[in-house]
Amino acid sequence: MKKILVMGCGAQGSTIAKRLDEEPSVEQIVCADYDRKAVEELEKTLNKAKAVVVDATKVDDIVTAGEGCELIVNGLAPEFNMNVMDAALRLGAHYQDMASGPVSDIGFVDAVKRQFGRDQEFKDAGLACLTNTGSAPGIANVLTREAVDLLERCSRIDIFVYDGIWSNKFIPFWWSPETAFGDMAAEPVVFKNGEFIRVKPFNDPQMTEFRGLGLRRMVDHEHEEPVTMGLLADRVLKGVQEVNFRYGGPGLELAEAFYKMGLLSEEPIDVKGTEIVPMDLISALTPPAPKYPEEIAAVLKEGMVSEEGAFLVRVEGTREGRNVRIDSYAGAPGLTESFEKAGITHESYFTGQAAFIFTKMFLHGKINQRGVFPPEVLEAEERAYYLAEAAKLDITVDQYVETRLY
Amino acid sequence: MKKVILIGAGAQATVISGVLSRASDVSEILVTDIDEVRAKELAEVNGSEKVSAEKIDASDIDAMAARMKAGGFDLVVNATIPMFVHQVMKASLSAGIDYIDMASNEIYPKPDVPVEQFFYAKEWEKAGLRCLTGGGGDPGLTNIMAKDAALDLDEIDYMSIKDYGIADCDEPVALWSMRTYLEDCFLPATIWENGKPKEVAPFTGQEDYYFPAPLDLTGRCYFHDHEEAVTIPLFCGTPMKYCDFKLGEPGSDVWKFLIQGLGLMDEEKIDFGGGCRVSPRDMLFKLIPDTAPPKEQIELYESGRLSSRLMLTCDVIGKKDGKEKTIKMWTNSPDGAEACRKIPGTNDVSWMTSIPASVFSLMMLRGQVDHVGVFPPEVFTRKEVETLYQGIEEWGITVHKETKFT
Repeated sequence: MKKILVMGCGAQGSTIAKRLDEEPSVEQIVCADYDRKAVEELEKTLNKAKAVVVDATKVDDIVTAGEGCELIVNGLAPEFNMNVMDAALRLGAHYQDMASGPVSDIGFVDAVKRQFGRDQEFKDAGLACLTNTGSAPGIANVLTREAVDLLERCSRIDIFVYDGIWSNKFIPFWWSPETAFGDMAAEPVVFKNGEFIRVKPFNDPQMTEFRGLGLRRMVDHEHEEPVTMGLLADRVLKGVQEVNFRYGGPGLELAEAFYKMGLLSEEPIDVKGTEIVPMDLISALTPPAPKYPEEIAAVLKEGMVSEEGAFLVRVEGTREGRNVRIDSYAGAPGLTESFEKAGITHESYFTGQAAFIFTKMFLHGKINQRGVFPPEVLEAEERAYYLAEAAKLDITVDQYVETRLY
Repeated sequence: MKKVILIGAGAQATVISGVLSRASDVSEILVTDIDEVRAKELAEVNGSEKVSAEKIDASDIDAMAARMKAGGFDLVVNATIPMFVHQVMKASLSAGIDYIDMASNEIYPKPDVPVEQFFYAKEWEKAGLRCLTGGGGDPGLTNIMAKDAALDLDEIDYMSIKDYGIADCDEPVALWSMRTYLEDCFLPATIWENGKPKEVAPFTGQEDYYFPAPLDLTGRCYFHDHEEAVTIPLFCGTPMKYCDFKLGEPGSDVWKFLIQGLGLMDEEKIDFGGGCRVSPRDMLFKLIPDTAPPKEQIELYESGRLSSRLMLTCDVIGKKDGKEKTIKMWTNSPDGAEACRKIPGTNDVSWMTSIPASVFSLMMLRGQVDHVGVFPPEVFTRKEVETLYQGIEEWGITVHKETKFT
């Protein structure tokens, strides 16, 4: 592949563009965003980049920007997924995105279904549309399938992400606070007994033991994995009946307290004659995640309260008549190490690099399937390539298999 | 037979009237409040013939003094909010009646005046009346614990008093005035260092402290503006180099981030788009729950949806006969549900404040407090300390003490 279109030059898009810049086979990276400053700044730091201002609400504009591109990497908000998918089909380009939701006015299940619903179109065009390719979802889906393939039957999948990065400088989230608060106040979808069920925000708090970390409080959280895995339960996940995504960390605790106090409500309230939406005020007051190296350096200079985390995929099922539990831990650099390695945050590093490896698979012809699919559909050979490349970027996986003998 | 007038018919008055009405040597308890309905409801819930209710405006000194005098009361219990300390003290002095309160509103308002009650010290001493200030849980029982330790030592290098409470409920619930609590959190605190008071910034002095069973947890505490850190070094009678007061709860960090990170206690209006201007503090106070009324608390505890428990601790390091001694003290008291069962409508917090206040009151009435003028509980003798301990033990509050010799 010689020419790639990267839609969206935020944290993930710019990380992927930087990696693409180092790929010898790539001749040009078209960096597109609505924000002229963002694309022009990115263009300056790369050798092969061409900055283009694109309004992603207009499919024609995306098509014009992507002329001659063989792959579109969509780093925009999921609202724009369908437009970018349209453009990919018109351009005859493969497509990759990082998330299916959230999308306003439709739930996560519909957000995933509307993408999966275009499977035949991509197949007919001989194209691959690989969705949900970051860390979670992304590498989490790869690890899930790796474990499921070791079983004869799969009964349950739990994905745990604990984010314990907390700095002295008040940075509650390392991605958009508005998105974070919105995600956390949303009603998560869980896949239970073969059905999708909506549960209340911060549902089912439980202490979960993580190797090397200890017990941490985790709750249900809105995410793509229970949806994509539920929809693909029979096709690739050996009939799994329950899939949960669980999240924890100081940012979540803060959001939960805010939620309980009504500070994340989107219902207007009257405050001394002024009608305001609490969530709007909280979003306006919350400091944004540091993006530029000098901002990250300033946070690190003030010191860290804690720099811990856990990324665990737990798969349960049976093999040779025995109950088996497989824990797969992904390890990736923390904030300090990510900044030292690449001048970016841990969030950008893990999600951006994990996403780039999927991009690299496209570049090197390692994506063999066609149609619309998430990473849990990738076959053993594809996953092996992925995990080997991940290890080169210091994203490692440790798998622990526990078998109940009797 | 003794007669008592209570100013204020809130949570504290519920417990105090409950305890005093069970005392055989108390014949009459008049519960008063600006809200007559509330005062009458309290009397009705109490059910004792000894308890009656009337409307009194605590800001009207003359009317209050006239009622006190006319009733021939033996003791005034100031159970209203601390902003009325001046008025109730003036009325009591005018009526010539002994007085007890549970808190102060002004810490070190002037040099040599640790709390506002001492503005009137000379007048009370001249009148031969007794004003016991800070006679609740903290301040109150904490001062007694401090005195207990101080009596064992010749000099004190370090004293730290802590208040840690847990409350778990599936909906936001306030067991005390959250508005007052947040206003206190927003203020600088005063600690005692090198023999004099020192102002420290809010949310400093962070300490992760182990609270023994029945809490059995490590909780985070911060300096908090409270009476003990300034009155104990002045009145306990043992030379003291350092004293602080720290407060904590599982949500302490949430309040810290809410106040310091987001500026939600800022009063200045901010513009957050669309010409919408609002004071963050106004919005916060609009959303935080009011103190749960007795009936709601009863329902929450009985249904098991609410659980809560409070602990007070006092750690002291000092010398006796030239040898170092470390003293650790902590309380064990009914949890919220048990307190609510014993006296309906109460909780662990009002119990911890008002049981000591009730016993202090009975001691005053029974001539077991041998001091004149304005004084805090740490002036008590060993015998008076023991009498207080015995009195609160009858209501389920015990104090544990561990002494380590070096």
